[in-house]
Amino acid sequence: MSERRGIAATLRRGRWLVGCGAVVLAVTACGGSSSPSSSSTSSSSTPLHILLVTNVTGAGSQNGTSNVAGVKEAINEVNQAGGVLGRQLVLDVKDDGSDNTKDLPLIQSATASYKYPLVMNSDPAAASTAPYIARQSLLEICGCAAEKYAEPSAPNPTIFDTDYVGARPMDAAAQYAQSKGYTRVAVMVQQGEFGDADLQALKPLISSTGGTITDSESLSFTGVDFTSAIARSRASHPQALLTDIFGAGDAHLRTEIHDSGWNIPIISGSNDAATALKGLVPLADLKGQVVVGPRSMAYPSEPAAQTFIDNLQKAGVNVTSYLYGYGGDHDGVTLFAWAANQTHSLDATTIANKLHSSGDVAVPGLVEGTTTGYSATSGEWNAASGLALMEAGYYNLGRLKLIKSVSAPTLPAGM
Amino acid sequence: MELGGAVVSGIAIGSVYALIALGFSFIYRTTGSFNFAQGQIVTFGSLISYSLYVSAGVPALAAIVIVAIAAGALGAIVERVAIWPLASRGDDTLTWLISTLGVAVLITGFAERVWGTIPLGVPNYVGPNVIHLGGQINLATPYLIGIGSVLVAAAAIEVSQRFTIWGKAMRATADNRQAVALAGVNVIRLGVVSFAIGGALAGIAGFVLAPITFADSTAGMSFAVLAFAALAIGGFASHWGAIFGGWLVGITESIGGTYAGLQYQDIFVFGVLIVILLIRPEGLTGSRNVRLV
Repeated sequence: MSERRGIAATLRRGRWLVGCGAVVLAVTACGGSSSPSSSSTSSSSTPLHILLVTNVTGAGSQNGTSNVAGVKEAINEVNQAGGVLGRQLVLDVKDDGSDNTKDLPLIQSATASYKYPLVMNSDPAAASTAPYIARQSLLEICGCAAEKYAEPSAPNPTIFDTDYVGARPMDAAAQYAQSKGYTRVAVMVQQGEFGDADLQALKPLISSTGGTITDSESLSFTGVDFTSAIARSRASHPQALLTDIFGAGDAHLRTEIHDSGWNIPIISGSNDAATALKGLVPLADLKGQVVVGPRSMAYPSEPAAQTFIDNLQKAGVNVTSYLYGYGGDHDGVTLFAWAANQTHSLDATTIANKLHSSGDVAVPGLVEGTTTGYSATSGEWNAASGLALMEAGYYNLGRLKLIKSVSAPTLPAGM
Repeated sequence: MELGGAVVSGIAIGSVYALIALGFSFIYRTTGSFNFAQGQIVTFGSLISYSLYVSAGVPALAAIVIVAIAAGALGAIVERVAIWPLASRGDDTLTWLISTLGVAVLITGFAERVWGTIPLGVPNYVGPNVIHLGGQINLATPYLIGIGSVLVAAAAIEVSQRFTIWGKAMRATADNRQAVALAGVNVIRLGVVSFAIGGALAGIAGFVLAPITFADSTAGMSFAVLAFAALAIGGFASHWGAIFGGWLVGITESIGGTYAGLQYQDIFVFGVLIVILLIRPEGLTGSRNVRLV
């Protein structure tokens, strides 16, 4: 009897232990699924997570959804080419709901549970997250357009911006104008801080080389009638016109200049893009005009940029916004994968040093440019058939290292 | 030459403001309210023009008719959604101001969903892009449609108000809505019709603008603001006020842009508005209210 009682007690204890074990296993499993394991401790067979914090919902959702689509396309390309150090990339997206103040806490909580080898976040929030990312020695390469916030004394060496923003492309446009021997230039920029930044950068640059700004105009990008500005600029007898207007206003301006019969070389360091002009301005009207910027600005699209659009559409993305929004973050992933594979490391500083020291190396798969771009060699497209393009190259947040020189596309005869 | 060019440009863009202001005026005089979704109906007109003329290849003449009908229908829907529910329960407050603005937001969201946010190119409807009027004075040909539409609309309104029962009823409603209702006229239906006509005029403005500023789902509101200023300057009491106000705003804007710079042209327009409102609060064509004591 006592023996049977002892057996029963042993069985009960066994069931209890099995139950405890099951609970422990379940908890462990749940924990594993809620947070990816650290990148530094994982084997080559485990996927490698990268983080994108952006505005998937809310007022800025068009920006965020294009970011996500661009990054997904880049991840597909990287994974098909073998991944990063043999590991497949996986995207973790955190939605800030278009509230930029949420980006920092979202990044903090995400990076607390996983050491992401690459962090990207939304354009307007980049300034607020940069100090944390730099302090934590995280790597960020994104189209975050944050250079206006950069402090030269604190260059944030692990943060890279793939976008072309602010006055820097206009610097390159002015250099190009000088390289063509245009000493008298008129300037048309957008009303507001971007246009002001352009003018602040251009005035000393042009005057320091003996050039003259014959007329400057600030135009509303929603403006309807630019004829008076065109007439004033024309009356100042410039040799070339430098412009930086966003979107439809740019197309509208170019159309009015063409219709006015003013045959002037137009050189733009603008953030407008092929997708901003495509369908708005006939190709023939753009002959002799040059844009300094990424490949997505070539019109018609440069082949690599067009392939990128085609791939996005094949993936079910309705490309309704400027290609610019997709390309910056795409190239962030591409550059990360290239540098990590080159250095056989996921360490942020090692990868950053590779990017800093790489000079002007061609990186396969980039869509906005062709190279890491620090020495700013240029590509040229469509010079003969439409809007020509110079590639200004990438620059590091806080440092204007890349726009050192520009090569000059050949303008059509008579320009 | 500069002044001549500025005046031509001013009349051209002023005609677009006048079309939108005519819609504001028509609706106000019939219902005592404003349709603050007029700007979005302008946008809708541009986008429909793109779909018809570019995507579907509909001829321009047929396209403008369809645009006017579609925009008119949208105007009527605005009345049904934003005005009628309030009017039917006797709400005589300014709630319609918020409700029409709410519909404006809805239309913008709808347009962004359907057509996206990238501006869409619409080629010129007929002839060369511009007509050279001598010197460096050019006129974009779509504006000719705008100028013609304003003149036709003004004539049609004048004739209908003098010779048709509907026109007379609308004119009478502007003077005394309650008396007209007591006389057996369905003033609610008049309200729907006036919103539809206002919408059609805004849609035509959108059709005119599409080749010039492109079809852009976010562009309409700035035109509506200037059109409203035009109406305030010209006077709310007659359609001629809307037309003169539109031209005056266009010319002022253009002269300001020519002689002071484009960044200052709005200051000129709203400066003129303030001065006129100080001198003639009823607008240039409005009649002074004289109260005998």
